[in-house]
Amino acid sequence: MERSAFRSRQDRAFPYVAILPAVAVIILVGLIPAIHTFVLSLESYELIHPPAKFIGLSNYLDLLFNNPRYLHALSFTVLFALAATGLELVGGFIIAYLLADRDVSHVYSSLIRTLLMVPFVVAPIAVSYTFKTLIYDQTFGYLSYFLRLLALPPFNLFHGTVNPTVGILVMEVILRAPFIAIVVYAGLSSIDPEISYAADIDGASSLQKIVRIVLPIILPILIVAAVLRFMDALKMFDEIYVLTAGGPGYTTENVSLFAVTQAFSYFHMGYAAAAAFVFLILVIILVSYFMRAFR
Amino acid sequence: MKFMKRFIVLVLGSILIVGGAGILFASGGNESPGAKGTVAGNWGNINWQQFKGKQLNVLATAMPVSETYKKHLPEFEQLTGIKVNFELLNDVDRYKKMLVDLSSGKGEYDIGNIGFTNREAFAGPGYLEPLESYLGDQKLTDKAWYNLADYPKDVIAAGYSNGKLVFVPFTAEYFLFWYRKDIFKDLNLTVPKTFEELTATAQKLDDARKAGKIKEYAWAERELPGFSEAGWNLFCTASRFNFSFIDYNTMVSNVNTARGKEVLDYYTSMILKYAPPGTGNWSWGEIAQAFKTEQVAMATGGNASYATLENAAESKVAGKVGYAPPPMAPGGSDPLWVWGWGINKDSHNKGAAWLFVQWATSPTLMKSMAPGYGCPARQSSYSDPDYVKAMPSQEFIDAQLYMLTKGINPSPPMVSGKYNESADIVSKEMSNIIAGIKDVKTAAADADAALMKLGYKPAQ
Repeated sequence: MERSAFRSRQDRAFPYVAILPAVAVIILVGLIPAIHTFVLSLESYELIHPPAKFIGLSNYLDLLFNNPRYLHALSFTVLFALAATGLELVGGFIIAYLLADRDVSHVYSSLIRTLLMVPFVVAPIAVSYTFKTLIYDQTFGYLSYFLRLLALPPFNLFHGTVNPTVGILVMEVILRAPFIAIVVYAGLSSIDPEISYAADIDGASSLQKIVRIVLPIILPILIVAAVLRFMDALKMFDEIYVLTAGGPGYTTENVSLFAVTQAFSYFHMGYAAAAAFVFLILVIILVSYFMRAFR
Repeated sequence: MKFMKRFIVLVLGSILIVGGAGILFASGGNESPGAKGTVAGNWGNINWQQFKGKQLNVLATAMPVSETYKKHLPEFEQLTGIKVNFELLNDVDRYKKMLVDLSSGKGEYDIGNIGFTNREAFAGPGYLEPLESYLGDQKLTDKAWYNLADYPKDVIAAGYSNGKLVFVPFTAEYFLFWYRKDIFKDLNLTVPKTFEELTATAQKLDDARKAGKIKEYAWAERELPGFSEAGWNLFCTASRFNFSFIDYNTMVSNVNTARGKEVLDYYTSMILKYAPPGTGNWSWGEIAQAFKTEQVAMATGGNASYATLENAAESKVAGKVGYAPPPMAPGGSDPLWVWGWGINKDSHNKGAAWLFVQWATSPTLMKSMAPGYGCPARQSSYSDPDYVKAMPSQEFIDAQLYMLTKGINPSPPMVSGKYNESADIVSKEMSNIIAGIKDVKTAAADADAALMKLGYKPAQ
């Protein structure tokens, strides 16, 4: 009797013990730095003119009411992330749906899915340099070459405010849509084919099947994939840093680049911390809203 | 029992994962070549083995001269018995990492590369160890052999902050005018000495390209916005115009003056008219690549970059490049840039660190290294037979000697600790002009407005 009670306590305690290392890591690398960042954000700390001085919420007030550059970075970050996530969802779904078609051979589908993994194993910075030099660059890149062959005008990444944004967006969608495709493919594979057969018998068109059957079934998977991609897109850094350095002007500067520039180029550590913290709050609000809206 | 088994598996698994990650991360990054090689040469009259067994962590910038240092590291290790972990990072990340380490007080890195414009950022808060005491200590330095007087006065002055020597330079760098000797000869062009001559030469080259006589574009410049990218070239161009965008002593912005707009207009119109299309995110790497692959006929580039242009294995223009002082306005000069070695104030091995700095800037090592990187800080290097033989041409040496003695500005505004943010602002507005978003007048006014927010005053 005592032995079985002890075993039962062990079984109840085991899940907590099992997740203890992960919780410890999250606290060490997540919670403690977040608290330190918040404390730093309440200080005027110039890295080349120490020490730090407590100034309360002055950094936050300046960022939100006196710094149009930061407000532009915030809006660019959110709008870009929304656009990128939306396009990746559409593109990823189309790829997954085509690969999951029962008429597509399993070998071919496996090969394509393996190739789709390539963007994950290459460092984002390496891919960014590839896009900058070998694709977009009008002197060294092959995009211009193919546009010339097709008698189309060249694409100047650094012209106006639309081109740089579109250039980064296209690169991001090409790199990240495969992630959505792989996740959605798993969901599509789990749909009972009998449902599709039944829909065919009832005379449903392909579009009706997608809208009335497929999407409702895989909606939870789509939500998770969208949230993960959205959070990734919000904190994007390498791609913008390499391709445009936030330019021309501040056109493509997002919050990550803004904060890094403030901290390590201008040495305004406290200001950068406040910028990052405002953004953290915004991300938490946005993600919470998405999770609730699509539940 | 079942719980204990699970717990043991969990703990063992965690140890394996953490240990494996530690091995993985520890195996990359730092390099420490084995102690091989000879240490021939005159190394002065000190006991180089006095810190035998110590270990030094060195953070250097990834550039050709650092690769040359890496090849000589085994000699230092054999000479001193000191182990060296030599880490290379690109300039921007090296700077940030060094600054974080210096400000943390942890002394992870004993020695670091100090770029000229890093000096005040590092030395201002007292992060660098003053070196006079080491120079004056007979146990640590053979002053006669080391011969600090071998440095041109403008070059060694770069290592001083607030009257203290905080780093010792090993390069003296500035911009030279690169041009294609073969194209100039074919088109009967002369080397431009003024900005007007440069514009006229660019026009002739552009006309020749449009007529199909040459395929190269006339000009290339740094355009990627940022204080260390286009900002640097823009401020250097201003210096050659005998002008400064910002007076950091009086905190006055001259960006929105007639001269400021003239410099901005010159810089951007040369790019828009004569540079290859779509180069808005080009920096020095792309310019060097374009020059080497016969895309561009003229550029201003660092004297230290000659090696990449003259390497026949990777450059189509090896042997065809001419070098001259960059075109300047009357009274203009090109900002000096130096790289040097400095010691972390919080280093736990300062004596050993000084031996490294002394070795790395010594006349013996410079005699051996200078032919490999071309822009030594010591004046005696320029007349050394090995150096002369290794350089691409006498024209290159003459251009350097002219710049060292007449052409450099040893106190450019960029050395100010306030340079980064202000130059970033000006370069970003410049990139707006390149992208066609703003004209010169609007860009200059907006740059000025942004600088006012930082506490600068407009010029009267």
